[in-house]
Amino acid sequence: MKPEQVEKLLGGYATGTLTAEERAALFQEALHNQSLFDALADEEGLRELLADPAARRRLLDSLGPAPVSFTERLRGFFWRPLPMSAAAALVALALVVVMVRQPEPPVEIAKNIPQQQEEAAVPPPAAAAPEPAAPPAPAEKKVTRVLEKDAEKERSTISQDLSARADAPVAEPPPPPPPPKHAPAPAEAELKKAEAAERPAEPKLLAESIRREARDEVLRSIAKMADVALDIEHFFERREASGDYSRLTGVEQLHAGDAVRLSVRAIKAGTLVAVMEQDGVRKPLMTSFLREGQQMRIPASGDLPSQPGERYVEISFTPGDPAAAMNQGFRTRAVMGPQSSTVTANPLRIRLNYRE
Amino acid sequence: MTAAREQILTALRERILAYAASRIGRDQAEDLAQETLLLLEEKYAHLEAMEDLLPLSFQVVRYKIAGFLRKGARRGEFHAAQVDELPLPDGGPDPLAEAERKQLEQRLQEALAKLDGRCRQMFRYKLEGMSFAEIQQAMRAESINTVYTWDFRCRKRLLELMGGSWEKWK
Repeated sequence: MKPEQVEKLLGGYATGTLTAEERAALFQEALHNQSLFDALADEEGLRELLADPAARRRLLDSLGPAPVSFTERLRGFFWRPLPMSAAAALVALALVVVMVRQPEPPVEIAKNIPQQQEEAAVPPPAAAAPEPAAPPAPAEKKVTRVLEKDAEKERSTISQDLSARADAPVAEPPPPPPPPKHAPAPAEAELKKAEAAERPAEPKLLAESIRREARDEVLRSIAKMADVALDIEHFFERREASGDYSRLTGVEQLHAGDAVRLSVRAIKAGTLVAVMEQDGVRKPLMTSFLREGQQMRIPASGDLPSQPGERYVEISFTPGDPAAAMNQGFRTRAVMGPQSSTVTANPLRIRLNYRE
Repeated sequence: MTAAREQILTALRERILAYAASRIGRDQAEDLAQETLLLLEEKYAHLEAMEDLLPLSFQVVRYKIAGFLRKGARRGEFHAAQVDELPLPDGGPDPLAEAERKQLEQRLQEALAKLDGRCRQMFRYKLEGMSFAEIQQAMRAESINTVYTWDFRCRKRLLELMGGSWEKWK
């Protein structure tokens, strides 16, 4: 180390900053350099002061906190527990918002779509008078005859189904058939081909086909309605002759004496209220808190009234745990109260018609 | 006495004499240097390394100069006091030395408050016990020589802010 460099070690002597090598170099130089020796001797008072830990601490305190660079402050901020938790909560919230389906107004969908589909079932004038099709080939004729028979059967079934749907309980219907992703199956292709060929000659068949699609659409709409933001799943069950209950798909006709009950499963924890209305008289069926995933039968024992006539079952579900809210303090109740009232879902109204 | 130790003490005497002469005058400096070396020879004969002898000599010289200056002050005619009225020493820390230390600390705090950011940071690191190599990393200096230079300038600035010397009596 050069002598001029050694002199620069002077500032480290009193504070004890020097390493053994630096200290040896400084003393070696001081022994032969009077000005450096004088400076070191003058540092002795400061060295003695700084050798006292208490005095050192006081001086450090007087210097204040060390300045931190912006990046270090930013890093420090995000690595603290609270911002970390908040960021994690925000991410989780965003994921939940993305994943949760947005509820749609169920009643409007259920009422409007059939009407629209009925209108759509009337073929437009342009479609009613297409250009005449070529006479079917012999092979196609066979298919057409078979399909005509099938169509006749289908027509009667559809008529029954649609009339039954209007009267039947609105239970969770079977999921609609998924749209074909690939090429249609040979039979379906043949059916479509035949339908296309028969369109000018058989407008009724076309209407039935469209009506069938309309029925599927209605059932899908009803399924949507069942999935509305009630946060529940529900379906009706009817007791068979064997004594077992079978799930109703929503198109069955109910008759007086049918042993029917409603089954509800809570997707979230919440309070379920079920009411039956008949001839303008409302009668409570059940009010109960359901845990997440809990299934409840309504009525809890026995079946719904099965006298002939029309009645409605109304279900409303309010997510949240009222008991937990009650157990918490006044402030919490004050906060949760309005929330509870606002999250109450619109009641789901289901019509049951028992025929003679 | 080993030859190495003798060489160190010889060089030390020369340095101490010059230093004391600049502070208290040539006549008293001779006595002070002699007393210091006598003490190192009699009481600290076991110390041979330069790293031990030099700091020790700084301490001895400092106390002797301080004592000399106090004695001279007491001898002043206007400061004369009856010996019966002087308090007896209690064996505890020297109250005057304590007061001087507190005064130095106070002045140091005031001077540090006037330092710029880098010098304050440098002094903070030193008080925290960091070595120059660690300070180089903390302050992201290109080389350790840069840190030496920064510290040298900061010490100079601090000394200026304290009126040119750490202790007032000097």
